[in-house]
Amino acid sequence: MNEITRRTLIAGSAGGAAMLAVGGITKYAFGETPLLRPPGGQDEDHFIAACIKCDRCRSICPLNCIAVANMNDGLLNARTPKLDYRIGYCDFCNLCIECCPTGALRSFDPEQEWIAPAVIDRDLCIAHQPEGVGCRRCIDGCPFEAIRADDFGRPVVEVEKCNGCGYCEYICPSNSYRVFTGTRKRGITVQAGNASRDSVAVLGGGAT
Amino acid sequence: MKISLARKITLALVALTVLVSFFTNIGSGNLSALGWKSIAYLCPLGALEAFLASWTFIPRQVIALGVCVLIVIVLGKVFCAWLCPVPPLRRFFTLKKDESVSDAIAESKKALEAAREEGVVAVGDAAAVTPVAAVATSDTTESVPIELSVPQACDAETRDLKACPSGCTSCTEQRKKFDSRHIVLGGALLSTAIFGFPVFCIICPVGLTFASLIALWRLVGFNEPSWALLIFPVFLALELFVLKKWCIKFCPLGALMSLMSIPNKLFKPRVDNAKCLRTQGIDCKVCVTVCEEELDPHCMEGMHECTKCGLCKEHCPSQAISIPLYAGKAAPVQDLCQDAKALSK
Ligand code: SF4
Ligand code: SF4
Ligand code: SF4
Ligand code: SF4
Ligand code: SF4
Repeated sequence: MNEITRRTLIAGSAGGAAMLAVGGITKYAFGETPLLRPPGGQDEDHFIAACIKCDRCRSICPLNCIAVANMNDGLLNARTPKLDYRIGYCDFCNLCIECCPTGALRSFDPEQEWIAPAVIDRDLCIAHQPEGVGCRRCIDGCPFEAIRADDFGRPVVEVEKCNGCGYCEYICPSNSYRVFTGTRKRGITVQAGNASRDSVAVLGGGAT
Repeated sequence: MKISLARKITLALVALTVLVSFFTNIGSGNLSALGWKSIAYLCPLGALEAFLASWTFIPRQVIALGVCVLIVIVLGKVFCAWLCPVPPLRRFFTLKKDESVSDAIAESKKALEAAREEGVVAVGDAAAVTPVAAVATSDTTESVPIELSVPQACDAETRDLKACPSGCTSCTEQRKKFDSRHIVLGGALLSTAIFGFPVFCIICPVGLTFASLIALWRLVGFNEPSWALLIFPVFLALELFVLKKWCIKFCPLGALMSLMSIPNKLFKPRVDNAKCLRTQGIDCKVCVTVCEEELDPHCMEGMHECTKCGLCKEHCPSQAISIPLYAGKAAPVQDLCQDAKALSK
């Protein structure tokens, strides 16, 4: 009475094979676009291995900086959390890490680690425009004093102090003033990717 | 309260919690992990996948998995009938009503009438189908011995009801302990280990249900259009309506819980032999037809798959089925079945 019938075996094998196909196709055909993860999710391999897309971190973030990735970010990333600093910033309250049930988000030290570095876009930053509106929002706002003013009063990111909290991006007014650029990107953004601190220093500090 | 009503309320509460989690900062999450702060129910398959993909197992995960195993051992596969959104979704979107249950009830009635006319069955209450054998003043905890006048075992080939004194067709319909779902489960875990991410989660119908909702919400609330809005519901529909028997043929989550539920002893449906129409020689198939797990509560084999949905109890035309806390060792009818087999040898 306990043997598996032929039909069951076929259905099961088809299903099992489908699982392997889904795994392979998702991984290699719908590969990752680098995304900004909540604190503690910076090791992308570990993160993608452990996140079960339960949506708890996104929901619990009191500053609402966690959004959810969708299909446009790739099938592998769909439904995983990503940061959106246009809506909120991170104050390292640790709540998301505490509620992550699988340890996809691991403990994070904002003094030592970084989410990703902030980068100034000289085309979008108001202070970098020829007309030179003297915007100092990010310079004054950065909670970690990671942005200094250059000789012309324009912001320069000191990468070794920046941990990617996103406050500068959150308060950057460039987009609300300069709507004509047709982008939602702001003058200063925290960007995902594996940029090393050095390469970022060139980008962000290039204004001097 | 009717079990089906209690189930609807439970589902509504879960749906509400998930929705509240969408729109507030309570962080309760969805059915992949649902809870408060660091205490959460964790999908056992998700927990296993996360472990296989990342080779790390944090204490919280181990505890959640352990609690889950315990719950399934005590309560059985309750998740499937009480929490999972798949069966209600399928019912909701199935336009053509399934008439097999009402047909089975009608058939039982007809057979009963015929039997009464022939005088095979004592004429009880004239009104439609009533507990025929209730004249035997049955006690639900005690099975009434039945004379084994036709000592032939039920025969898988003929499946002739009259041939078996227990009047039971279940022996040919038993569910096996291992089936296609378990192979799918193996495939999912293997794929997860190879490719390094929780593979089944991508196409899990439970996850896809919430994913579709999230996609809709992001579109409406954040003006974030995404292919997800199209792809997730299509995937879900595929699983629900093309693979019609998703739950009993393919679902690896069900498979995992079925493995955990093998030692389950509580809340098993129990048939009162004295009341069941089959013992009157009537080929009643109501309980088997209505059971979404394709179980026959007369049969103890495979009964760990029971989701405690209570449908068999609610539909039995002669109220022969109860779902007691502890049902004892074996269903009385199956005893008969065994006896009949023994006698025929
Ligand atoms: S640490 Fe706090 S503020 Fe930062 S992303 Fe997590 S929940 Fe949000
Ligand atoms: S709480 Fe953890 S597992 Fe859940 S979605 Fe966030 S990162 Fe993924
Ligand atoms: S992200 Fe911006 S505000 Fe935050 S530390 Fe870096 S420069 Fe400062
Ligand atoms: S238990 Fe009820 S539904 Fe099942 S065969 Fe007996 S009479 Fe019919
Ligand atoms: S045996 Fe009865 S209670 Fe169990 S799953 Fe089937 S219909 Fe539901």
